Amino acid sequence: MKAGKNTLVYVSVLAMLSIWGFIAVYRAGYIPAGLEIFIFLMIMIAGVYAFVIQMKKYKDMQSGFPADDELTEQIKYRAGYLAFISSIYVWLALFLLKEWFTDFDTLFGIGVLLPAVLFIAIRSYLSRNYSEDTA
Amino acid sequence: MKTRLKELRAARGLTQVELARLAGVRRETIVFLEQGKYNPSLQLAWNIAQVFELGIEEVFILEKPLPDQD
Repeated sequence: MKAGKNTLVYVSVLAMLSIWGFIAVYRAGYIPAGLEIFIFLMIMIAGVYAFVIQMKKYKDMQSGFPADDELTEQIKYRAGYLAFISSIYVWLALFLLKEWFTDFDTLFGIGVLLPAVLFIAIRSYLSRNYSEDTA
Repeated sequence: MKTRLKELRAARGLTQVELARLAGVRRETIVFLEQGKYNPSLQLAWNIAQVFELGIEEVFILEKPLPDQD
């Protein structure tokens, strides 16, 4: 239980730092343009999602429920598997469309962050619509 | 897999939250179990059966027949 609480604190702090980092960059006057905006948006989505999930877990733990149980673990594994399969297609599409990208950093950023966002989307979907039939 | 969870829970006047707490899982897990969308592990099935003081086979009913042993 103590390890779970420590993880919760670390992830929450990281999520908050990501959000504050984005706000700091934004206030400094750097407004991303073109495809870079997608990278910033994906970082924001991942940061906010991590924060919301950890807060939900913290509330559950305060109410006497486990932060994770076997169903949430299974949902996580399935979402991870589907995100991994999706990432193969994401990278395939990126290689086919590489002419669209002006620099490698943007291409690489999208290649890494898009599967992460897909994982979030799949996990959220499965949390509401899990079924053994679709396993 | 079919389950008598809802019926047994109602008979004992337990809410989903109370059953979740007794079985050591989250409330969402009880919801998915009652809807028949999730097959529990043997450990969880045993924990839930213990809450109702019944055997596992009295709470969870296997729909698919066992393979012919002939």
